Amino acid sequence: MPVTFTHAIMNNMKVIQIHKLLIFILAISFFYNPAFAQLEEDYRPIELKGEIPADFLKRIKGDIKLQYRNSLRLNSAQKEQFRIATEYTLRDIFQQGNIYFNDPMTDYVRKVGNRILYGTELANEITFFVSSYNSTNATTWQDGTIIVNIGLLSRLENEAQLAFALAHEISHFIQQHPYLQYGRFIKKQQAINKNEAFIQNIDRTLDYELEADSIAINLLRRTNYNYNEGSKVLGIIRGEYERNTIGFGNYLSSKKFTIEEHHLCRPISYRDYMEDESVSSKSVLSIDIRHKKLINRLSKIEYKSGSKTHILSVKLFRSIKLIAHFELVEQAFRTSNYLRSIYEVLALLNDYPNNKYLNIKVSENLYYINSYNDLSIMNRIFFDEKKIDDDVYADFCCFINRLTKDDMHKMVFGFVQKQYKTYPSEERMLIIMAKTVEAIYDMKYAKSYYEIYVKLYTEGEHFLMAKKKLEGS
Amino acid sequence: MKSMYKKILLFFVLFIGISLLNSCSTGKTYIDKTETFSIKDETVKHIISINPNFILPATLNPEIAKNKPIISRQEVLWFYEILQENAKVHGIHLQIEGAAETIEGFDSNYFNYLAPLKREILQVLSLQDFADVNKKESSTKMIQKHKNGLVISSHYSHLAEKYGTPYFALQGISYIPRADESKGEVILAAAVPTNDLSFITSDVETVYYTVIVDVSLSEIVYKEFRIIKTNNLQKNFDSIVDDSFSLISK
Repeated sequence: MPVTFTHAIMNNMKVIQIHKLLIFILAISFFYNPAFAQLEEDYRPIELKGEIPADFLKRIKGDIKLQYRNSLRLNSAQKEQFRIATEYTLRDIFQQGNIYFNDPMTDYVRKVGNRILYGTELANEITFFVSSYNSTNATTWQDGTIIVNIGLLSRLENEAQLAFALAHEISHFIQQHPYLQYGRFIKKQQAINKNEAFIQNIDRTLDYELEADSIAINLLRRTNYNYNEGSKVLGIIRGEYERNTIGFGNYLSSKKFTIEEHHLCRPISYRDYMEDESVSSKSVLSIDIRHKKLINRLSKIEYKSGSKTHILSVKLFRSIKLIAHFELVEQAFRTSNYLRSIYEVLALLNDYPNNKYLNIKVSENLYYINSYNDLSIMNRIFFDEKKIDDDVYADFCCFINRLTKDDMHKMVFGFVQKQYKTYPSEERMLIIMAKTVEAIYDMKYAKSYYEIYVKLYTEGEHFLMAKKKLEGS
Repeated sequence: MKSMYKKILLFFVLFIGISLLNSCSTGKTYIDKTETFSIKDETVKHIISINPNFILPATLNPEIAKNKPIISRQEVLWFYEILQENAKVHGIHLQIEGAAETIEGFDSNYFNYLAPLKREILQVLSLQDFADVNKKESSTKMIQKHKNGLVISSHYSHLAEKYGTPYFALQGISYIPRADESKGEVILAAAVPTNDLSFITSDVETVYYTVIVDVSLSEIVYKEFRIIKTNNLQKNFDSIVDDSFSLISK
């Protein structure tokens, strides 16, 4: 240690120079953030890299330990069933590739989560993960696994809101809600099997949620996070958030097809999807009750001075939120939720109109929408039907649903051709152009595009398919 | 043209014959194969089986539990062994990837390529099944519903080079609760990857399936669903899998 110290003094001049350099770099980075600047041009979806973390593998191997007090007095067979169900479900989620690892989102969520757990015994019991699911939600398991969906991460407005969401999930674990929910289900089944009456109401979801909200506030009071942000999180889950999307009418129009007033339609009510679904209505009602109770609770707590919406860094939060949003576009596409993927792109294009990834992704999504339309099975890809709570998204779905096959062909081809002219040598664009021409016109017209692809991208992702197309043509 | 017609007819008759024989010995069978799928023409018959599913019911009802096995790691290994051994008998190298029980093949590649491919196949099977579009169904259920296979994304075609084969498979055993058991006793029952369950009769409970995709064509080229009896599973399963691979290798 003394050696290092002496060295530092001896290199005083160098230190000063480095200091200056650091200040210079910091000054530049304040105005020029490479992460954001890069997104102006392109985005590369997260590719999982490196060694698979031990806490990840553990869940795939089923090497988990449930932690609970057996307050419902389940017998050993019932406890074993609970373990099997948890182990199987977790293994399935992790094995299906739905969970990120060695990525910036997981790192960030863990940093925030560990701040809440700091100095408690829970720090060794709970592990945070991020999933590729698009619902605005997070989940807790009785082994201490907490999973935050990118759908939630992309919607939150600040770090304190994430802290509230995590504290809420931690509270579910502390109060052993997964165990209680399962235990009540088991007891009910037992009563049915023995033809006994089961008086207790097993659906205690709302009670658990209210309890978790309340405990979350207590947990956050130990930290410097502004717990008042909690009520905004409930608003976000309910669908109350600002989305500045670009108009799809202009964006999807081209020389081949102009979207005009008569192509557009409006659902009877934007929220009608939610209103006629009993389950959705119930969940909206449940969030309303939670919202009111939480506001009431917060109004009785004295405001803690010095509490913050960001402890780590505003910039870091913004970049994580953006990554989550771009991932949402990719994951919606990968799960064939093409309409949702385009809708998320429309929101991102407002800030990143020239992003190559976004423009090409719309072309790709449109190609598949057209395929399902041609097969007359487009109803199967309206995944968010009954769940849409945004006007633009509702309008967009209505527009797509109303297009005739002929108009769909014109719209898709016109848009893909427009993007192809912008990105003519881009691998993904070239293959979409080839496939679109083949689908809408004929292979003989698509051949030249496949030929260019095979010539340019001998190691491309679509090379073999393109080669086989040419061989068969 | 005439000889080609004869060949197709012969193949069809053979196909129906074999399948009917199977349905007698092992329960109902449903097979859907594209015209172009022919693994026998490959110099190396190689299939990558992505994380085969082995899901038998876990139940809360002690009466049912007595007669039915629940998920056990030992049985999963037995399942993999039977798959690989029978594939070998028919000259097919079946490479199992992404199996938690063996830990083999668990690297980033699995999560970046194979797991998404598996999800894609499952998604396509559920979205593009034309059962409710093409109403003409043969009573034998051994039909060729699609001239060209169901289409998957073409960006998986590079996996053919990466893994040395264009064939990737979903395989597994899934349990379907019978009507009288679906009153909540069964706590785990995996879905069979098809929307068209009309081939399942009321007295059956377990389905063995194989779905093969040719990533170089971006198509699902082979689908097979067989009903098996859980209580005779270990005894009969060997011959069921043998029969399945004999059809795939033809």
